[in-house]
Amino acid sequence: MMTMTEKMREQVKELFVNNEIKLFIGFEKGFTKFSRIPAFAENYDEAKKMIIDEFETPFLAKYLIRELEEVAAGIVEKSERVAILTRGCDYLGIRRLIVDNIILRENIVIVGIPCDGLIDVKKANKLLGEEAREITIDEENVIAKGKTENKIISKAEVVLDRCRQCIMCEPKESDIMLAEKTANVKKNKDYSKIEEIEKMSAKERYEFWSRQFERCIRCFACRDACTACNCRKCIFDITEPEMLEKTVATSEQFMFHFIRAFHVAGRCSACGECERVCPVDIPLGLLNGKLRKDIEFLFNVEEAGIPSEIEPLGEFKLDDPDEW
Amino acid sequence: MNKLLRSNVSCLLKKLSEHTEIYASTEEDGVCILAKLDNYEEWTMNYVRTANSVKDVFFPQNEEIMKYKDASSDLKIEAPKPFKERIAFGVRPCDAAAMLLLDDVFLKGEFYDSYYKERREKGTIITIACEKPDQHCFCTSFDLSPGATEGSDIVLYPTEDFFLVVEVTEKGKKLIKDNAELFEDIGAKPEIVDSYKNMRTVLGDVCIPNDLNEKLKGEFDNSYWKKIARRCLGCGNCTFVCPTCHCFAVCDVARGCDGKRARTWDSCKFQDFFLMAGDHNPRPTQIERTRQRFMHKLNYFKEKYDKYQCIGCGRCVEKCPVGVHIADVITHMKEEL
Repeated sequence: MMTMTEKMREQVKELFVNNEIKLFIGFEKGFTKFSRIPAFAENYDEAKKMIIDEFETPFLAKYLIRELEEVAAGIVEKSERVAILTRGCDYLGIRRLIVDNIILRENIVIVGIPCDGLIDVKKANKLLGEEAREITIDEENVIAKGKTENKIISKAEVVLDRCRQCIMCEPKESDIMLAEKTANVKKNKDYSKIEEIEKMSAKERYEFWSRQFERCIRCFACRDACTACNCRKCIFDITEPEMLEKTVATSEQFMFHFIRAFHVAGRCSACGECERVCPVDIPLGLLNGKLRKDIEFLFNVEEAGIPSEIEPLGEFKLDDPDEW
Repeated sequence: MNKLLRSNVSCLLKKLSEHTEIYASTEEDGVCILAKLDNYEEWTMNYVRTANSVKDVFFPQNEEIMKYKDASSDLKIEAPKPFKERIAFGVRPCDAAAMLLLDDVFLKGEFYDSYYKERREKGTIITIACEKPDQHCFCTSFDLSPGATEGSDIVLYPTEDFFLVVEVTEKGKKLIKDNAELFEDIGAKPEIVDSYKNMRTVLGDVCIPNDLNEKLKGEFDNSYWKKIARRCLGCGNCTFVCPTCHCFAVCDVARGCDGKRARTWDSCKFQDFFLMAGDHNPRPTQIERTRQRFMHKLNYFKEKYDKYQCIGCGRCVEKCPVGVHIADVITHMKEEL
């Protein structure tokens, strides 16, 4: 049986040979072990080093903005399209860009893969008690090899936190699907951490978030990685007038994070990328999750953040109760 | 050489705090950071590297240069208060060595930075040697080691039940003498120190050729910059966590007639870093910005100070969301040029 990686290479080869794309975006191995990094192939040869496995990967959707910047408004020739490896969560990001009129669906080729959740190497290391030298992943288990002993861990134990709350385990529609098998992640909406914070008194809550935001070094990685953050010019980059002081006072931190949270409210698809890229581990997922939870409750939608033409915060109804 | 019992560390920190500000590694919501310590029991050794580096203690992200009041009528200008004595505790050897690079920038030469100078003069660095370097560490590539003493005043070498204390500078010696009751002389134990100094990092030696900067000189338009910049998201993560990156901006913050002038970190990764009046940007895309970061570290800094501006702490590598790796750059350039 062909592995997913082999299937991908075959499909990509066909795309290039038939002159159907100018670029393929996927993953390759990084410099450090177990790291998977974005890779860009402009011909089949460059795609040969690309792989698909179950280690944690960065999101690719955001790169479409830059790669299709020059043609944002028009449909390109077939040979100028960009193909992108797409998991369910990536698909939500891509849909976001399409719904927001940043890119056109016609200009991309979605190469879909089902996903059962990605492996968190940090969790595996913790369970092993040291840094794993080798990690092999099979259908159900992860085998982490340490200096002297090996540990067999069930996948469920080391799957990334964000994957536990996955709302789309394979792209809803695609041009090419690399595997038919539907992933069987159990969707598990977990708002328990958010409920814990809701139960805090206002003072406790303020202290909690102050502590988190005071750690913020304002590197803007959360913004730069987020597909919902797709403004051509971000207000935090505008120097005149300066919307955000360069000084990193707590009040400014609150303002930065709140504005960002409100800006992506109803558009955040819970991909968890902001939390992953944060160098000081601010639990941004809780902030965005709270807004998602409220939208789901107030607008009676099952899942806030699924990009569509009509969204809870993107439409107005004449019979709106105007409760606020 | 002295020994310091692990159980005496909190005691020492408490005693030192009577006259000084203590910055130590502490855990906050599962993140290990170097921060001002109020509770001396809270220091931890549960980290390979803290999320922020010791740079924060001597060159903070935010610093007030002056305050002004009532600019409309009777202008009053207030200078910042003199800094307190400060001790950074639990610093890693790589971070301590990075301070020597910042010294080159801020203290050596015709001009010096008075704020930085005052903090450095009033500061003491107590380093803890690394027991377990992780996969991101590569300090041995820069003639350092998990037991290096460069830049530290005192180095503590952990053993099973105590710290072996090595004083490096006069400042360190004095600190031990002033708190002699907490230390115990156990004579020379070079084997412990050597075991740390001979330790190799997992990544091994990247081996930077001494003339890499010369070779990089002609590589302004190398296609490799384009290749890695394509991945770069353009966040300032790598530069802010780096203990040797030192670019800053000065800004005025006004509220009515009152205001302040502040110095803040800035990052060559940001699009507005090079933005000039008239909206001209000499480094308009991520390609030029990425090149700038690596050229500064591996070429310009070496030209000026005869050292590479990296100590292999591995922070940028660990924190980069898309796996841009300076050792990868060095290895690639070494092979290509």
